[in-house]
Amino acid sequence: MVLMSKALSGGFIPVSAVLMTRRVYDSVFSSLDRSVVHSSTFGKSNLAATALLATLSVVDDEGLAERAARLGGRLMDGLRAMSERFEFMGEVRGRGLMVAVDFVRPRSLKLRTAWKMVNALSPDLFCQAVTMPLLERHGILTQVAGHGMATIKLIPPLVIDEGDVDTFLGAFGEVMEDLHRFPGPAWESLSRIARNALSSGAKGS
Amino acid sequence: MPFDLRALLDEHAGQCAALYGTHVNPRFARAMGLIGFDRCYVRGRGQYLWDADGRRHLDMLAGYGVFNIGRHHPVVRKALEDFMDMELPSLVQLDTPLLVALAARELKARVGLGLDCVYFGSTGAEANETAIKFARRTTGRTRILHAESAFHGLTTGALALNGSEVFREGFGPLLPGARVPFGDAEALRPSWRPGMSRPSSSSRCRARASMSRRKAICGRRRGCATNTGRCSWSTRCRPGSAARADSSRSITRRAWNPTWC
Repeated sequence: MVLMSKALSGGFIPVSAVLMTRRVYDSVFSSLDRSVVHSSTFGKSNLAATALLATLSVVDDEGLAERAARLGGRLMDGLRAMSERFEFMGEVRGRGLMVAVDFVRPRSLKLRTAWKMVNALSPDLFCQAVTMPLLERHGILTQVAGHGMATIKLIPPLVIDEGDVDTFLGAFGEVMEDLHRFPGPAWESLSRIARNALSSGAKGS
Repeated sequence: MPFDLRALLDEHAGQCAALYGTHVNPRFARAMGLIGFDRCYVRGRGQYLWDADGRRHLDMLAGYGVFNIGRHHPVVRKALEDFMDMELPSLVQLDTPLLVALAARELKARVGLGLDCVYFGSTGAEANETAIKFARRTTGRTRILHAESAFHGLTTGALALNGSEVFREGFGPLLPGARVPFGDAEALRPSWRPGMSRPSSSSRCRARASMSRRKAICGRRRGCATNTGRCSWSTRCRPGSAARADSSRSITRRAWNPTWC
């Protein structure tokens, strides 16, 4: 079976699809009596199918797979070049425009102290020190990859252009510069937010 | 007075966080406020979002990846407007809808792999629930493997394939299964137990957690595993880290990480 959802309808209408072999299909819908043993009220939506068909045509006509490969390469090359300058940066991983940036314990004693401090509060707190200024100062929306992970994910629309990639790289570099100054304003903000979160968590609010 | 979307938005301008916090999810609204993400976006097009002050934002999240073609793509928008202008029927239910069939044909042509039939639903979680049911029915087996840090949705079936304790805690007992390291075919072997759908071989059957945003359950031949892939950015997972966290830290983490795709 192959499962698909997410971008299948261009974000307009929720739709998912499960592609399966005839053998799997026959095992479930094994007779006329069983032809509806698995179904969904919204599974026969011509409206969703319209969005899906139009979306596939856009992906083809605009060469979005190739575009993702090209711009993803530009994004990852830029990030990897930075990782040599910034101790907090680890591996940059991805395919096309689906990219992860790992953050790691730095080498220098001063930055290691900062790293320990935020990780003592939460393993993914460091990532918020990256995503918050990206949004606040640079107007770029990003997210931590998952619970307890020192990784952020970058999954922009495939229609971004070279200018967007360069804008992101410039902004990310500035955020990294700030975080490599400890103590500094970036760390003070982070500590304040962490304290507020702890206080909120303790109160259950 | 007929419904007027613009008037409704104008009437409640700037109140998104307060109203969401009051009526939907107060803790999520609080979490967004803590990290400064509680802004009101009023427009989205392509890769950009605009807030109420007119500031443009570059969206590097794309709604957890649903906006590959950008927001409000004119081609899809035109197609949906045409659909409504033509007053085409949808969800008749007791019919065999043409556009659904054409959509299935297009997907099959792109995927290949001898996959002949398509089941449509609404969400990725629903697709995973479908795969779980179909795998159980096809193999007659019940236990399903999932990868460390896997995420396939949060409905109870999909939750059984979730690699993070923070999501599972308090919702059990879940479907039987086992957790294996991602991308390690050899590690699958000790996980094969009676009742487990068994991989035929690493070369014939492997989880497809591809960056192309497909998740797959392999069903290429009889006896094949139902081993789901996971979000590919989490290949450096830390097994059990969430479970080890003390309760106050868990609360803290949830305060700013309330949900994930």
